[in-house]
Amino acid sequence: MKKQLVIELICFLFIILFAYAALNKLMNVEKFQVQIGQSPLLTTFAGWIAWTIPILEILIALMLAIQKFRLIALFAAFSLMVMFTVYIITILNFSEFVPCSCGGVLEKLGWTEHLIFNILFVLFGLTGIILSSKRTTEGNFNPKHKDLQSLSAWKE
Amino acid sequence: MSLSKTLFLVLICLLFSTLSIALLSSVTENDIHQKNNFIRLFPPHPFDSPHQIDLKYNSYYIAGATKETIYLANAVSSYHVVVASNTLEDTTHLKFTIDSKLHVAHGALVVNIDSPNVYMRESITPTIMHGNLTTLKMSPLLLKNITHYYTSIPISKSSIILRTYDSSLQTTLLSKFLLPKDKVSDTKQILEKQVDGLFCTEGMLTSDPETGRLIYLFYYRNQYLYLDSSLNLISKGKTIDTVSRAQIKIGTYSTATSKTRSLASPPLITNRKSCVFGNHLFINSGLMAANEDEKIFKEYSVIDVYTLSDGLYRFSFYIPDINEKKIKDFKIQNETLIILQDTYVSTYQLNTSLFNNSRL
Repeated sequence: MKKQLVIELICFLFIILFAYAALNKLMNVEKFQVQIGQSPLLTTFAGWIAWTIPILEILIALMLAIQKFRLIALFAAFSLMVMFTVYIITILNFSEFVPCSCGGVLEKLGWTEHLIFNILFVLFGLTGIILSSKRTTEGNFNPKHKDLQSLSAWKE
Repeated sequence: MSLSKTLFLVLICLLFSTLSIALLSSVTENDIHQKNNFIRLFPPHPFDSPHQIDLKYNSYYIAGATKETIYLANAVSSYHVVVASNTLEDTTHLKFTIDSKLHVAHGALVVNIDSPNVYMRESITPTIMHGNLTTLKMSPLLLKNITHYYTSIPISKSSIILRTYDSSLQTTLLSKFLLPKDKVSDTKQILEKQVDGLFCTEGMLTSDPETGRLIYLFYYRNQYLYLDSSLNLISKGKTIDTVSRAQIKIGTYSTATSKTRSLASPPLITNRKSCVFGNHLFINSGLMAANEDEKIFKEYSVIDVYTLSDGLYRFSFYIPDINEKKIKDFKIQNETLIILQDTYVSTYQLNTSLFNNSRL
């Protein structure tokens, strides 16, 4: 089925992106902490964010790999990408100055390229959510409330 | 799950994500600019690589600057001034002369050059001399009504601000002294006493050459006063560190003839040096912020930038130390930052977009 293939591809891309990004950050948490610390938007939360973001990324990547949690994971991935995107938009337009860095390969990207990259992934996430939630409705075993239950659990 | 329900959840995710970033950044913004949280911001690329020359002696200080020229006076050789271009490419020397019969404490002379006016003053005899850059001849002003002062700063051709100590009030005063009239025009008791009234109020007077307004920056507490040229308080500002009370200890001891007061422990210096340019106040702070690396703080001097109109902190930048020596003196003239460290003078061209930012 073509739809299934698209979902698999989107999940695969997200897993690669998050696993790579998380490992990159965790390999040098101190550096990441300093970089966040230089951000005029987040410096207060630098210590806290430096750990939660990579851990969240790994968690989402793992959940994407497990069929049962895939839809929630897609929602989470979508939300996280929206957060990153909103952060970039804020820093480009409303911040006093624009700090220098991101991690790894993405360091080579400028902020605008980065923004396009992020929006692309937001759209991937949205596509994934729509396709897989349709699929689950068509499927014969998935009771609706289960999705909602686990989703609210995630939100807490 | 129906499509409408999915889209509803997507919308919730969108809202949740956007709001969480908005919340984090507004809390941070509040922390940096308002609350007494000691955090510094370091924008990238504050300046290009500096021009630098070795003056061979560490006794120079900045006597003045114009758009293109820097004047460096020497604490050891009071009548000798080095003139350098902004880029430090060509340097020339000036030699000032005075009437040899004049009774002056030569070694204590402080030189100020507000082109083309030159002022030399010392608080021992005390003497104030005026001259200009063309004749290079200094002539003393007749001052019978100045008896004693600690520091002074010329603010115009006709007036000078003095910091004096009133022993009956046990407090430090600021006075404006009119040079041609040889009299004090305004005296203000605005330096709030915290410990002893003398040491605890110590600080640095700086003037903005453009407006004639003054900044009194306390050395031992996180405060500065923004004053107009008649010493009226325009506003009180707070520096970002958390030292609101001067942390100094005073000791007294008696000698045969008098009682002497002295600092009894090394003071905690919050603010080391400052200068004003336009709407910006620049302060070389002695304290490390919560989000700074200790190793970097040891190897660099930090300068914090404030806007005077609203008293808010804007950002900071680092100046690398030379031979492990911190900034000794600095000044900002237009976009040029002039720094003295050890025996070196450096000039940096500041990235003006940082200052032109509409939010600054």
